[in-house]
Amino acid sequence: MTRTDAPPTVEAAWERLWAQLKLSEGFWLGYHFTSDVGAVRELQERSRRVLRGEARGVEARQVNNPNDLLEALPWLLRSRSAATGVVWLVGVSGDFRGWISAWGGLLRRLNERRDTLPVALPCGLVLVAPRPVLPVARDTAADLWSLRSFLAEVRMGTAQHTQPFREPPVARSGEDHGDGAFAARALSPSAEPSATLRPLLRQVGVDLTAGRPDLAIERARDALDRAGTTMTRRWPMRGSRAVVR
Amino acid sequence: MIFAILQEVIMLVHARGAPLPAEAAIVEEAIGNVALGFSSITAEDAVFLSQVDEGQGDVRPSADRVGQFARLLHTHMILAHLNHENWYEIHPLARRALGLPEGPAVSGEDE
Repeated sequence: MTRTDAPPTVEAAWERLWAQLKLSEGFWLGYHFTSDVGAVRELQERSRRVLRGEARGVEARQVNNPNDLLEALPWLLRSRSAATGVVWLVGVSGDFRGWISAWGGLLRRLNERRDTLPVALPCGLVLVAPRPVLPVARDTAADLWSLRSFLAEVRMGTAQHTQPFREPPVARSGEDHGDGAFAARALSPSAEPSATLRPLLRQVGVDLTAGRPDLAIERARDALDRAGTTMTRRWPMRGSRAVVR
Repeated sequence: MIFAILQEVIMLVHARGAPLPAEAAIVEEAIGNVALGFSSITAEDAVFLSQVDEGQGDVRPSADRVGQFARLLHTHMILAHLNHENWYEIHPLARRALGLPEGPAVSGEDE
């Protein structure tokens, strides 16, 4: 809870989750406390959209009965590839009282396997539980709790009274509209070039700065061709052509 | 915990495209986000923590409270200071959650 007593909202949670998805590499652990299934679905869908731009996916498992929660453990510990961006485990529906002991049991097991998690999951893991589970997560699985890098809550009925979060615009120079500014924008983190494209784009910037526009254009075309090939391989042709154009 | 707050500040600054150094309001919001982890303290723990506060750094749990004391240390609800003489205090964010006045009611050796 913040000192301003602002209600924790979907937008506030998404703002931080978005940054988490953008800034984190490898394993990270998040706890999300809410009983608002609709809010969880919204966050999952948004994370799916953001990660799609990086050719990464979302895996989600929703458990509807607390007695079934422990069965999710093997699924959680299953080895994932780098194509998975975040894994969601959701257990919130119905009366929260049944979830408290169920989450306590699962979190204790996960606590015992906390060294396995970063190996199995080269991505984010978001555990979604009702708010009353928070002290259980903190007190009964303290070592796992200490690994958290994302902690959020959304209260019921706070989704419709908020300003939607917008991704920040790409930083642009207000003074320099020349080639240098173009190269800076191309290399800005928000453009998120892949590891393959990054050196090519960097070279484009070097060539532009060195007064070799023809060479820069050639390298830029090469980068565009590679981007198009990659996207064609990963997504349907119609979508990838739209992106490349 | 300072790194958790720093991480929160970075996330908020990045998400909002806010300038650096971060504004005080963002820092305060980051502290509030981290404070969520210290909320929902059970009545039993609240009583124990209040006793720690009243003890002004000197904690002598009874035998049946040692486990509780260890757990509260483990979850950083209680901080142990080992500057020559061991003394304890409640984490500032736990103090906030309990509604205790800010600043420990202890006087350490270096104060």
